[in-house]
Amino acid sequence: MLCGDVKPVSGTMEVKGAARRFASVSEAVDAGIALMPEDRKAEGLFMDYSIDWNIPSMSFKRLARFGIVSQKRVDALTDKYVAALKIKTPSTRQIVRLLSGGNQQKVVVARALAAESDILIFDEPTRGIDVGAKQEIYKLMNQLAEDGNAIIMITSDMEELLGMSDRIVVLYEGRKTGELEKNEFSQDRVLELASGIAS
Amino acid sequence: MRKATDFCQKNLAVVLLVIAGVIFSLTTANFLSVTNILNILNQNAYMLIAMCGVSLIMIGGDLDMSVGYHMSICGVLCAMMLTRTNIPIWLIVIMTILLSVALAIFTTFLTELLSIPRIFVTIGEATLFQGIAYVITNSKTVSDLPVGFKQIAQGTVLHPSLTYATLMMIVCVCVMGFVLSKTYFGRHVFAMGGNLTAARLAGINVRKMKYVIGILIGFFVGAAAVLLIGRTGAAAANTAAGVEINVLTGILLGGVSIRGGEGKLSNCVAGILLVALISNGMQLAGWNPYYQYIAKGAIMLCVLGFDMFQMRRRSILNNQRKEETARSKGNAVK
Repeated sequence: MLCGDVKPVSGTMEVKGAARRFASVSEAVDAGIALMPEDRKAEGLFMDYSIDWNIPSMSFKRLARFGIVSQKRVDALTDKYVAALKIKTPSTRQIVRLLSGGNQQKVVVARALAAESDILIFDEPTRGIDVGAKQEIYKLMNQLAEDGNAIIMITSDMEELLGMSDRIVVLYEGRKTGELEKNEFSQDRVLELASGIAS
Repeated sequence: MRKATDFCQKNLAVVLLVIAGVIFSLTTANFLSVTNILNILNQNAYMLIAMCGVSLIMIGGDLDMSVGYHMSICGVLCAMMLTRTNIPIWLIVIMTILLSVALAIFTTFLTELLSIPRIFVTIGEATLFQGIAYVITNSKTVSDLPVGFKQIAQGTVLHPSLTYATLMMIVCVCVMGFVLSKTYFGRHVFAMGGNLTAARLAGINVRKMKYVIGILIGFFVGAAAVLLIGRTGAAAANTAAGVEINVLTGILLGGVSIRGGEGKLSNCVAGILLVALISNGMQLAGWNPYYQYIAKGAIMLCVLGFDMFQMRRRSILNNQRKEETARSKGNAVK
């Protein structure tokens, strides 16, 4: 909904102080919002394409002059984010399917950053990746937040939720049941709200 | 050596085309003459132009099974306008192409409305179009097209066998090849074929893309219809029947996967020409046309089987490679 894929039933949304309503995901991307879907294999990445295809895949239009995509700019952009996010791969021509889960997740993040998005929606960012890579993703998210990006993390992992968040919004069956500030964080309180007992 | 086999695998259609060409040039006198090659290109120009549109759909991960009768309807309407009205020829050509685009937009509209893949919509439409084509012609052939119109396809430049149709085909193929491989539009088509959901969530306006692809296929099929009836000088309801199967077989031979997301236009050209050469060869060998259907069907099934086989082999290879990298990583830690 935030990124325009599903039409909202009610409510309003403000992006950088202006009320917005997106008709499609492409409008949301233009407004600087990037979604990193939870199922990166089915919804996030182009698994059979290379890294240097995936990282610029949200930005082809921007990388094109008169409609023609410049391979030079594609390579520059890819190299920049492979280095910045320390994606481990023998070559940027490697197809994404062959990367480890953590590195695949980094490609998803790199793609969002390459599109110059500053509102980043992480949907279950650490699902199915190993402990070391998890720490790296957390570090990366903290770094991104420090750099002035807005991060919305959607998660069902309690430790991750309490450890990473500055503010928690709990939803139950599509409706907001509570909003917690950092000093109110507790596992019990979140569970109460999430199961819809407290109203 | 590995590079050579890699090349052969990626450009199978080109390799097969060269082999077929060598066989024909050894067995048939004059096969390799400029005139004969230009004739083959001229005869298949309409098919290659239609291929420019169909390959877009296929790389984008869908199929169009109504191309044949879609082309027939445009052909017969064009021929009827030419013989029964006094509208200037150039206007009729433009109207034919616009009609074709309108039909293709209608198809896209139906796929969006019913939200089912284009292949199913177009299977239904193929029969619909067939009926319409027979009704409007009353199943008679429209012939005696004006000479001025036939010149559009048959006129020649430089060489007595280098027709305008061939030139237009070359222009269309070059432009589409460039668009597919170099522009962001082409990249978006590949994105849709690679993973439609991911393409949508990456901010590609999939619905708009589908309409643009629809308009393009309409344009190419319409142009192909004009050139086809211009070359043969007559149009009937079954003029272009079965074109979709030939184009589909050619494109599959050209290495486009049935699931989309892969392919190069140059290989598709080779695939179409290969199909043309095979049917031409069977005709020269005096085969009964019914046997030709059997041969074509068998080729199509072989190509589909090969496509499946390649995908399965690749996924096994990928798993092996992944295990290898995992193992080498594990060793490094120790």
